[in-house]
Amino acid sequence: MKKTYNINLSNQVFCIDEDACQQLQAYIETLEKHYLNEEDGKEIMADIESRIAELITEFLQKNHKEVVSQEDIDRVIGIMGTPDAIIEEDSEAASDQPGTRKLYRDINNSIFGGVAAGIAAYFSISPAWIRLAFVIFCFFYGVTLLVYLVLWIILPKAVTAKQKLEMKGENINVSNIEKNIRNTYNEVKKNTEFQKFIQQVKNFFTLVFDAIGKIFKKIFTIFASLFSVIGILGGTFLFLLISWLLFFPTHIPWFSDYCTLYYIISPSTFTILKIILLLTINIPLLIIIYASAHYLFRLNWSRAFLLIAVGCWFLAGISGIFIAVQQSLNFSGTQTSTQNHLLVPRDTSTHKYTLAIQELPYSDRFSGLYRNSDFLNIIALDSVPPKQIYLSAPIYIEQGYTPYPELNIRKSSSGLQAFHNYGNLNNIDYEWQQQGDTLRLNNYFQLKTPIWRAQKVKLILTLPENDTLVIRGNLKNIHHRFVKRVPAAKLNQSCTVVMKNGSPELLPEKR
Amino acid sequence: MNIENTQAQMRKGILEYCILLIIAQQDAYVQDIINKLKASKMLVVEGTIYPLLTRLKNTGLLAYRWEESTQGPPRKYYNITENGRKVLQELEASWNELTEAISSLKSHTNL
Repeated sequence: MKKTYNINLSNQVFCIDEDACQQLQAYIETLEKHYLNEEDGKEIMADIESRIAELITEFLQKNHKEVVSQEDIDRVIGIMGTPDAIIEEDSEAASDQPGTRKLYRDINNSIFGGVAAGIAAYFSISPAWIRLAFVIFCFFYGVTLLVYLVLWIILPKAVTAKQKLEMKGENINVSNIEKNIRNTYNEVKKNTEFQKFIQQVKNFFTLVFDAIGKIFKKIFTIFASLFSVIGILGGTFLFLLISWLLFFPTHIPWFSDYCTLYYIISPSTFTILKIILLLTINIPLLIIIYASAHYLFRLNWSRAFLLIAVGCWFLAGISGIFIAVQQSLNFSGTQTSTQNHLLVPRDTSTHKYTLAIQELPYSDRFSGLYRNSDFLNIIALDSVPPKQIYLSAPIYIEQGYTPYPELNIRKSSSGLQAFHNYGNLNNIDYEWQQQGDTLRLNNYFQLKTPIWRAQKVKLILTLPENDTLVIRGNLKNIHHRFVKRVPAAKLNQSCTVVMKNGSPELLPEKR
Repeated sequence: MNIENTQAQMRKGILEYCILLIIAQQDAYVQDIINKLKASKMLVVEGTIYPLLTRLKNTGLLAYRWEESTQGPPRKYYNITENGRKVLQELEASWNELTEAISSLKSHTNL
């Protein structure tokens, strides 16, 4: 009794013996391996298959048979020629390709799943050594047990003659295939009762692990599809969102701080930076979208696209680093200057002075001002990109040791460290006035040219002990503890402070 | 020197010429071509002819059409193209040169 298979050769059905089927399969696979690399290799293989079908039909009719036997296949190969003969006749440099080794599970020599036998075949040693190693290492936390199970699940079985030869790293030619088939046949014949028992146990485990393997594959497919969908939808959403944020930032209130970059660097550099940012963020997104689409819709990988994308990404990254270094050099050094002004009043007997704080008049002259956040100490600018930038100048009140109040103006600015570039300090335009015993201070300063280099103006007003100061204007501009004691509603009204024990104290209001 | 190899090389060199010759006489089905080649001992194994025919078709020397057959599936009938005829003429010329060269060499050695 023999097992038979039904095969389809060039759209004709044949009933074929198991051994003959294996031989034919190996024969066709060997030829395919050679010809499918060629242009129209499929056509050549179709022609060859159709001729094989024709020959087999002829043999079956002649001998009044229904099943194709190994003899028939031998005759077919005799007529068509062995792969060696065909390929050698056909090509100029027909040489034996060195056999490539692949790791398979050797199910013919297996105890359980054939993992050890497969590894042994791969290294051309006796499976006993590998089994021994598996058992010995099993005592160390049972690592190999897990390794074995994983290998059982992921390694494919060596089923076809071709796979069996690949497993042993032998050349795939017909003589080797024949030898291999003969060996298998002989091994099957000498099966003993014990081996049959092992075979049954094996079959059970094989069933279980094949099932687990299939489940894992299914789960993997489901997850991969899910991630692809997320990749396409999420990637596209992020792609559009980022493009929109970069080029229309003012549309989103919480993102408008990003506009402050305009004042730090020049508008042209800013545009370049935007493009660089767009590329560095969006190219990986594009690749994610592409990979997801490739997985979902079985699109072909375009090597050119990937190369261009990765190339652009690196270029953008390098330019980005270059610009970042160049721009940060503008902030590498700090310049400071301090000016002291002794405020001698007309009437030196009262020891009472007035501080009038002038705020940036948003309402009239600067009605078109764009209010900005405190992030860069910028309080206002007139347009984007700006022609005028106003920064806040905080006022401090401290104890003085001179007989009269003193105004201390401290200016600072960042700039290139290599050069003593005081241009950035000169860019600061701060106005103040003294009229008798009244001091008028602006709570802001202006940049003459709109180039932001972290310029700061700090005003320190020192007041001698027991002297009185009337403050007019918004108290929020004063940086001192006593301001906290003023109710929020009264911050905009005048108040009077007296320097007591080295600290200004709030005088109660006179009714 | 491997005599078999040299013979195979010689056969291989003129196999394309032979195929063009056969098809130029009459449109042919692959089996006709194989039979004629086998009869003239030009072909050892059949498998070689399929890649060769496909390549001749790809270079535009041959074309084929499908024709219904009484015994089994439709068959490919090959015919020669204009281009094929030109190449055939060129091959014929060089073949004649070769045979003349050989025969003149033979007559000299016989002297």
